[in-house]
Amino acid sequence: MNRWLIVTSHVYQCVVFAYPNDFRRRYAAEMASVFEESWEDAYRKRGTALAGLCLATAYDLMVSVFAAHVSRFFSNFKSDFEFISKSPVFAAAFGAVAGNLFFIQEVVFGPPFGLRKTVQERLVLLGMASTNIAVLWLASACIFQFVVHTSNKARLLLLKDRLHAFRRLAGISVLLAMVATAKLLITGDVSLKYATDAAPAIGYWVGFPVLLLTVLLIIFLLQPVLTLRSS
Amino acid sequence: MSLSKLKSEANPGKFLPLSNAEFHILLAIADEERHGYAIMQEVKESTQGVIRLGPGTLYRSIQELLQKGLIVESERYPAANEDQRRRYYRMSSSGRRVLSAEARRLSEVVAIAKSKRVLRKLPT
Repeated sequence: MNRWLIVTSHVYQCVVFAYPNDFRRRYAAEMASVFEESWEDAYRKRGTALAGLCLATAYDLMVSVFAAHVSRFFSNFKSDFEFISKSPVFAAAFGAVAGNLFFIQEVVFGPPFGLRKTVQERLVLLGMASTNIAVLWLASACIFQFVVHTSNKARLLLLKDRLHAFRRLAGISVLLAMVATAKLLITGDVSLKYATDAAPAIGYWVGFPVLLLTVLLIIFLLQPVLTLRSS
Repeated sequence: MSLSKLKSEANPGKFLPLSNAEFHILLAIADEERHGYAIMQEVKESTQGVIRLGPGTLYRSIQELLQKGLIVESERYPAANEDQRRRYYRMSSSGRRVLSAEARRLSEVVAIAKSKRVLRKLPT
């Protein structure tokens, strides 16, 4: 095998890592094979064929990697909603995540989209949102461990999918919280003094997550009553 | 049977219009099963080089077509002297119906173009 082909094939196989996991696992070997055959074909033709192939492949990679991620995001989002809508407790958890997004948008957008807030108030909102998301995440992990030890396999599989869906949605709010933090850091509004001045009493931090978990627990216990059964 | 396959068998129109890449891949495997590189070559030759599929676009479209149930992976294995990473694809019965519906739709578009004198009559 040509030395340059070995090098470019290795480079190609490294770049293929940019595709989503499931796609890469299924098609990476075949894609590398197709690339190598195209390379050999272009090499035989000489002239500018190889340069053309490299440019076309780079363009194809950029476009298809982006398209693969966008399509995966939307298909995951769609299936997440399908899973979550089947269970009131997960719908409630999704509501909680959406509530956190409200906090975060207050930080990301100032007026006219968000309300006018001081830096300290924005930091508190961001802290609250992060705490709530962390508590929800932790709760989902605890519920899963509880079910692993108490339930049968079918229920475990169903819950696993729903928790996975919920965590992904929570992941989006974590990402947005990071954007909000980055925005505060870049604009230079954050200092340690502000952070400590802004910190409210411990009850303020604990109160909302406890309330949130209590509501989720109540809905979880009432789930058999709340779930609509199709005839 | 997958939901998408059931849908395509019930109503091929649901998958129309096909993307350019999907349409040409289906055309390439309409007569015989082919592997990825052969599909690429067939598309390039049949369109006189106007459409060139890169590996990324090719396999993303193949993934879509597999999910929709329009193509299936063949049981055929590469010969001993071939690259063992090759996989062969062939069209499913629903794929054939969808391809035929898409070809009909495109021929209607051509007919409209002719009626509006956008397209001159092809020499016979």
